[in-house]
Amino acid sequence: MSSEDPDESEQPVGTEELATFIEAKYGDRLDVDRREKLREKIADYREAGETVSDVALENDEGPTYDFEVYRGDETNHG
Amino acid sequence: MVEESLLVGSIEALGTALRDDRLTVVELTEAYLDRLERVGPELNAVVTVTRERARQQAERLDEEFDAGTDRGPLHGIPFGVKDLLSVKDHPTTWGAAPLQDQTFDEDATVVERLEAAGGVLLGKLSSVELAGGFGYEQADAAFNGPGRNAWDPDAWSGGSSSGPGSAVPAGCVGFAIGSETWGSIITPAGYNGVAGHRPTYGAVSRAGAMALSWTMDKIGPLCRTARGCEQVLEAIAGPDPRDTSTVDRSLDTDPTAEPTLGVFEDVTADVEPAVGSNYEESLAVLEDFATIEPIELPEYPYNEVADLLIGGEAAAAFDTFVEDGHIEDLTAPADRVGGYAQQAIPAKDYINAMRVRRKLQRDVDQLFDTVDAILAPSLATVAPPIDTPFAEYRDPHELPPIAAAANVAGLPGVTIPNGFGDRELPTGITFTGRAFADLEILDYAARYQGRTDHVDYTSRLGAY
Repeated sequence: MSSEDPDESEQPVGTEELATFIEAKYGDRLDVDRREKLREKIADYREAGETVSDVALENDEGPTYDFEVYRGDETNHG
Repeated sequence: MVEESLLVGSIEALGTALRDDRLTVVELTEAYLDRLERVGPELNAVVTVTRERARQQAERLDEEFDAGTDRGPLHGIPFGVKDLLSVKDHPTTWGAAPLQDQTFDEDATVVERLEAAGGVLLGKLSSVELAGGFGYEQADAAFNGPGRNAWDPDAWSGGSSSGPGSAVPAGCVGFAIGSETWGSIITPAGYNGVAGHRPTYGAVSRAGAMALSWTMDKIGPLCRTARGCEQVLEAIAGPDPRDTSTVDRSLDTDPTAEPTLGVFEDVTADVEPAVGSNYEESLAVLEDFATIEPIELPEYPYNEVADLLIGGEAAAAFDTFVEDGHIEDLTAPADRVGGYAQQAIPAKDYINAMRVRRKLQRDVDQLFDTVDAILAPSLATVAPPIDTPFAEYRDPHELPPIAAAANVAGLPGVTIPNGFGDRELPTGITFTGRAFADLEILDYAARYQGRTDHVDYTSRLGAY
């Protein structure tokens, strides 16, 4: 996709750069149609990311996953 | 000779027939195996039939009945599992063409527990490839073809538990096990007019199951009755050292005699007309034993949070699959792109989704301070025609994001058929509960089902 593509300006920020990153790794597998679809999907994720970022969060509101320390002789976990 | 109508009976009815000596476990198993082998392929519902294993288990269970041993309500009940649960000595394909020969050395915990409870494994049932984790947009998204609806093979069965969805109403199994990350039990159960239960996250072990999203995957039953789901859940729930996400906490067992059920205003505004009218009629039935109260879902971007959590985790879960090029051999064109796009989700977006998740789960939980369960139509439409892209059929219709909210928060849900809509396809109503209130919502659903007579599965016996 060229930088003059009119659709590009409507994409969320970072879409083109992230698509370029994927193409750098897997571009030899992707034809024009799939590259276009890739941008659509990345744009969806970028929009989701921006929407989620709009939720007000305080600094101490951490993510909901809890890392647990591990000792093989003190846990039942396999 | 097994009376054919029994094949679409409830788990209770099958158990009664076995205990009354009207048939043996071997006879029931053989009848289901024959039907699964004949009808399963017509619906693209089955991947592998485990005939020899089923026969051996059935013989053992008959011997136990003869010796006076009864393992409980599932003793002698044949079942199938979605083909993302491992069964040793058989392929576990995850619905994906490049993984058709994949095998594992151990049975999934759910399979072990069901067999220990007296279940008879009949086979592996169809799944959308990788449980739909790469964002499929069409019914034809598995190596063995699109899942066909038991009420109309030209309609989609739903996904990603497409085989469990159609095999249950078609009388191919006594019950089935599916999985849900975001909609994959409720959708096929709703489209096929059966009871489908999404358990509380952590209530049922995923050991031996394909991981799509470690923090959102759940395993649960699809049955012809809500009581059946309850019986299966009791056999499979509980902590498991093989799955550290499982919790050592028993499920609540105290359903309210006259529950308060929460409803969203204007919930039917954008659904198909028959979905809306069936839902309104359901509320009138529920008022027999429940109070209906309006509630509001707290404002959060539930769908976006779910998208980022699943996408971010799938990118890691299938990193090697994508890297090795297996993605190129998937069936659905959208899946052959989605796996790449997920690799471009920034860590910040995933972590922020997890932060919002913590906040929203507390706010959603507060709804249950005033209601015992939340009601909504299970789906905004009936099943799409099998050749129509999802977006074309479903996008004009919409529900409040209760499915995304419940899955992100790990809350249990159960769908029950509540009538028929367009193209004479089933519609459903879903009860969503507080974490660990699985048995309570199943009780409310069963009481609703006991007051209605929406579905006659015997008609499916003549159809196939």
